[in-house]
Amino acid sequence: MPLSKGPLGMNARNFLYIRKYNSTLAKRIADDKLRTKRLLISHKIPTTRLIKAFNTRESVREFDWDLPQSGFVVKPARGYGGEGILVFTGWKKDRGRTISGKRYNRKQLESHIFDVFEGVYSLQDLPDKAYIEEKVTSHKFFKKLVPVGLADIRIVLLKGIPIMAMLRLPTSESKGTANLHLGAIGVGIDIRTGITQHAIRHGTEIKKIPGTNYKTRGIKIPNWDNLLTLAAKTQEVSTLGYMGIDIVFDAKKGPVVLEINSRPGLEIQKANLDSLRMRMEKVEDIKVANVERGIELAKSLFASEVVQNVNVAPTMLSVLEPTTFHGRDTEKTYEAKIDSGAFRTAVDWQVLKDLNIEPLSEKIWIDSTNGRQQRPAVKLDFTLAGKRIKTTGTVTDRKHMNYPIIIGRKDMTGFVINPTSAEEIQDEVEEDN
Amino acid sequence: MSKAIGVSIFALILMALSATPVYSQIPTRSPSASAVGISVESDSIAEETSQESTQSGEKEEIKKLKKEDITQPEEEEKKSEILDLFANRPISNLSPLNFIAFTVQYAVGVGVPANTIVLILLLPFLATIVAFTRHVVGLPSLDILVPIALSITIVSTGIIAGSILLIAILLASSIGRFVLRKVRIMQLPKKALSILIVAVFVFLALVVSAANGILIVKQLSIFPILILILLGEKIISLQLTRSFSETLTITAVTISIGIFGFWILSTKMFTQAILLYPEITLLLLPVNYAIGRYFGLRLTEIYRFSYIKKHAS
Repeated sequence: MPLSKGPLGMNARNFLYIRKYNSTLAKRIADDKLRTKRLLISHKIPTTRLIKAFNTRESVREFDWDLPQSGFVVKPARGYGGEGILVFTGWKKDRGRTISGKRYNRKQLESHIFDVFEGVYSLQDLPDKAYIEEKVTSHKFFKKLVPVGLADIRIVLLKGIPIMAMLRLPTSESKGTANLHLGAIGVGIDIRTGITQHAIRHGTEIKKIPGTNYKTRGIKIPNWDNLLTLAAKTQEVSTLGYMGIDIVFDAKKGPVVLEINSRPGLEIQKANLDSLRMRMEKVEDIKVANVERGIELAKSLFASEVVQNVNVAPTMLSVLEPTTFHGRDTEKTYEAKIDSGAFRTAVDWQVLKDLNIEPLSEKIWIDSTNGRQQRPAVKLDFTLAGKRIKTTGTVTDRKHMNYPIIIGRKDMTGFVINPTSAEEIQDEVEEDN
Repeated sequence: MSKAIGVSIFALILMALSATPVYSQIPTRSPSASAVGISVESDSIAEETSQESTQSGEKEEIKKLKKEDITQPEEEEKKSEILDLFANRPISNLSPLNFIAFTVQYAVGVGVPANTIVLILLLPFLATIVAFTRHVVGLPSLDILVPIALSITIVSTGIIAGSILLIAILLASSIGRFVLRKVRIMQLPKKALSILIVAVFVFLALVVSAANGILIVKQLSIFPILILILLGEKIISLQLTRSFSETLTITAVTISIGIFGFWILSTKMFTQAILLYPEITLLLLPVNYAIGRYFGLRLTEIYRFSYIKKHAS
């Protein structure tokens, strides 16, 4: 079959993908947020905590309304286009206020839930259920980018393979929702690196987040690999073959699945300047063994050319690394020993003298080979293998040691260590000869 | 829910087609004429005679309208016209190549109204136009039955009366939306209220146009009006769930297809062609198959995604 050369349209999406890969049952579950939530919870996939589900009028009347004071979210199970969702920012005893500033008392909230039962907010006016879930607190990384509302990441997958991803940033115009039709920003994401690319708003290109100085291009989504794994696992559980998954970053829980969608929209193609159809045709007849293989495949097939030189593999440290320490108005490079046996970085008194810095007044207890001892603490600021690290280390007398500095485990996050040093490798080669 | 309404609309169309025309039951004095009559009753007899003459003029006009209305069975003289048409393609022997045309001519011969045959055979064409508009052009419409029902309704009411009623209904549905959005009641009573609003507006439109002589109300059958009221209710439900711009697009597309369908149903070229060569209907098989297997971009999507090509380089 010849490969397509254009974007995915509605006809093809509905007939060639949704109809083919999404069973009626799987779609029905995906359309019911309450069932989806229970499914995710039973498979231990992180999602927002379910506080209370209302099925009957009795369940509403008998509820004690003891809700989190910091806020919560009331949702219809089969709401349409975000209708009927109330986000409470505070609740005390039996009254509270929503994010839009509207006040609700217990009676009014009850009547809202009865409206949900009647199907006022559901598609086709069918009777519905309501539930209360925990409110997501925006992670500081995204709070910095968008002060209002909750940014989310939409990942479209086909049979366990991530196809395309988009960061959705709410604006004041979209009233805090990540809905592109209401004026939220869609930013394409490179599947390999998790770095944002082209951005659109109302169907036209933008370069900066409105109202801020942040560029939309080049934002590196934290925890990208975990996000892809989470999305692929969610797809496994949902049994939908073609789907979109919305993930948000909670300040405490980290990435959580907010919603799944059996008919994901096509606008993501404009944010990524690429065709879903062309990408899907490349992988449609590939059967991936597990979640990891699917992600590997997607990363190599859909890598963006623009960021092809960005290295995402963890940086390898050898046993000895030249490390630049930044002191007061000076900096100096030392040969530091990478020592995963130590927890904290330790430096010799001479280093403090070189850098013209003082130890802190506090002392830190250290367990070393010489037994338990107390050492002065010091604020350190150094660059190791291109990464700037600010940490608290200890000061000790290392005059008789080979290296004036050892780097401890605490400051090695994101690195891997090659246990053989360059000289040792050299020795081995000579021995072989 | 929407299916049920669709089916009921369809049933109404069939009823409208088979029902006895309402105008035959109307007493000879029209409400507008009698209203004039009351104010002048005590005056001279001469005036009364002039009144009679306007009434007979009106009657003639109705007769003329009735002749043009193909939702009604045609009269004798028109029948001979159709027989003349059939003379262009005389079919004496039944063969595998002409059995459809034979059936049509036979049906007319045994008394099935030719107008009914035309409508029945043209319905699938209208449905195909709706399918084409959705999947190839990419414009959304209300269901498939609403535009078709609308075409036939306009044919039955005439374009002027149809437009007046449509405007009344659109006005009613916009007002209905604003009023009913805020009313917190269950769905069915809400729908009943929306029908009430539309019904009141249609009634007012009829009264106002009759009083001003804009349209001859007497020739209006209740069924097309009913269908229009149901259409108004559907537009209101649409407005309650969709955004304003979406509703506007869907309504505009639905009405455009309805008017286009009206043009087809009232163009002699098409009605005569379908009577004489009913085999054309078979063309719809490959056409609909092709539309149903068209997985490329819709016209509106080509525009929407032209952005990608422009920026990708």
